Amino acid sequence: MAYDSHAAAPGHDAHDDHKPHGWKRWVYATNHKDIGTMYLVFAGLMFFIGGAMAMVIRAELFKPGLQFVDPMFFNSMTTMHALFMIFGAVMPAWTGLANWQIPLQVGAPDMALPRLNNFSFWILPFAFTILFCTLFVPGGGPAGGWTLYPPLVLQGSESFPMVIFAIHLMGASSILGAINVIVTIMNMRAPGMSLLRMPLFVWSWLITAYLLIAVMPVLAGAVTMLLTDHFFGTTFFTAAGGGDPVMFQHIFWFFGHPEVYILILPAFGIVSEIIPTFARKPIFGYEAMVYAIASIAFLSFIVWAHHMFTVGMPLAGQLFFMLSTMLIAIPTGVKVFNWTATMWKSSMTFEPPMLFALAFLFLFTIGGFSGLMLAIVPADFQYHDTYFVVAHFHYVLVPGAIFSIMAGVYYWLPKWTSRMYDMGLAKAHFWLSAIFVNVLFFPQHFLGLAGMPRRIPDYAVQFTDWNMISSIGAFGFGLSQLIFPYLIWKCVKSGAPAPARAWEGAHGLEWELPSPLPYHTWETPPSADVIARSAEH
Amino acid sequence: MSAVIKPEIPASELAERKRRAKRAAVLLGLVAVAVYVGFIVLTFTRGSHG
Repeated sequence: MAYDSHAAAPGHDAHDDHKPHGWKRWVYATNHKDIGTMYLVFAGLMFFIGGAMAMVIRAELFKPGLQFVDPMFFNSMTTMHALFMIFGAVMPAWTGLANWQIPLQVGAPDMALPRLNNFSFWILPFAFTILFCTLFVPGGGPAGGWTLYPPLVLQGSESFPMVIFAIHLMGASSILGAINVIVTIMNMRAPGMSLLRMPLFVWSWLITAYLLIAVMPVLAGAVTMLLTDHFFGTTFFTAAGGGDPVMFQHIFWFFGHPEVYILILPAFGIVSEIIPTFARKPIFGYEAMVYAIASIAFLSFIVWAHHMFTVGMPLAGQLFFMLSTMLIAIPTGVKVFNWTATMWKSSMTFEPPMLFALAFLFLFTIGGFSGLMLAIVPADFQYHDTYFVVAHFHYVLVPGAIFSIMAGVYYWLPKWTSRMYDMGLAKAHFWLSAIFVNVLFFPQHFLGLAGMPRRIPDYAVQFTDWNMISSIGAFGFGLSQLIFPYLIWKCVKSGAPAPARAWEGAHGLEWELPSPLPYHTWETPPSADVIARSAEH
Repeated sequence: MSAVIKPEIPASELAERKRRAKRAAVLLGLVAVAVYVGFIVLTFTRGSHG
């Protein structure tokens, strides 16, 4: 860290602000800021590994025919790309942001269970090392898709038990992290920080943490049953033994759909922090925003079978899952309306966090609309397993989740480092990302509507043009992301000093703290008037 | 203006907060284990046609 943690800070005992040095600081870390940093660095590393896999996929799909890799390895890349991005990049990035921000924003000195916090993080490098090593065992890595559907997954390579073990570890890490978040928010808030005074990022994470505890064990149960089917002769999902492979799909998506919201709800929280700051207005409809997040979380449990319309189900089932899915548009619409209303007649400025938040607003909405199209049963029969689906979920996850993570980092980086980053470089990063992400994913809608299936290394020649454009977008997007770590490194090394309240319109307890941030914060809780001032909504 | 108040939280309240935190963590962990076991039992009883 570049800042001097011993610098005298108002309201803090400087003598008590020591921090450990060297490798022990990180291996034995119990400080929420250190663990948050480790989560974010780990997520960044996984983002680039997962991104490299995406480059392999797009290079192979640049033109028809087999170019660089054999089909099995291609399928392995699509599977591993998803696992690395979902469980390695996005989820740990959210946990990193939660670790940094939740104690600062609720006026707590640290997470409630610091040693558990350390354990949650250090599980992850082992999990992903195991997962990555599957590429080097006989038969290669998992290639049946991240959904791990039987019977295909049971016919996989010798890497199968390693994948199952890695997924168990990731699940355990997520559950422990979620327990820590809930316990911190419910028990460690400063006096006077009532639930409806909490920042929306904290609210979004509280609800996300409940989702995690409810659904990660479901995934663990599903993969445990796969393991026993494979090695111990059970037939949970084997039709020949009286089992039901479709049951796996129900269980997987009972986890999988809430998982999608686990990936996006904290994004709603971040955007709800950033837009009011740069619009210089309180968020429009704070309570409605909280209820909308809670409604989306509830609805996420009753829509899972929209992923499986083509498997076959009774008409009543199709209607139920179609209509319940469409219902999600209502609370989501409330959120989009409230973000827009917050900006209405405001004094907006367009610093990098705001640019990423606005891109989120436009592009996530496109992903939402294509999701609504996919919810329509007869239409889904056309779109299912095509590139339209790939375009849909990448619009939700890349300009949705990943842009919000970047927005969050650009928003809080001056607080974390007490230094301001290079604005010009950050804006270049934004514009290159925003342009290339559309070049990359928008043509995939056309490919899907024209009938190009997903998860194939080769395709019919009529799909060539849009695939070429999409691949060019991918290379451009991938290269643009190299700006991000360089910018952070430059900021930490030589950024200009940032004031304690880095953004003119920023409210929230974290901005009441001095910069450089002391290593230990809120050891004495903030006063009632500071809490009241920080919760201006 | 200082963003903090003195004195610090009393030790008795800190101890009670620790107890509450531990209790809540154990409870949430048990919920997770129950969901894990519950779904395996559900699949065992409802999923097979045998």
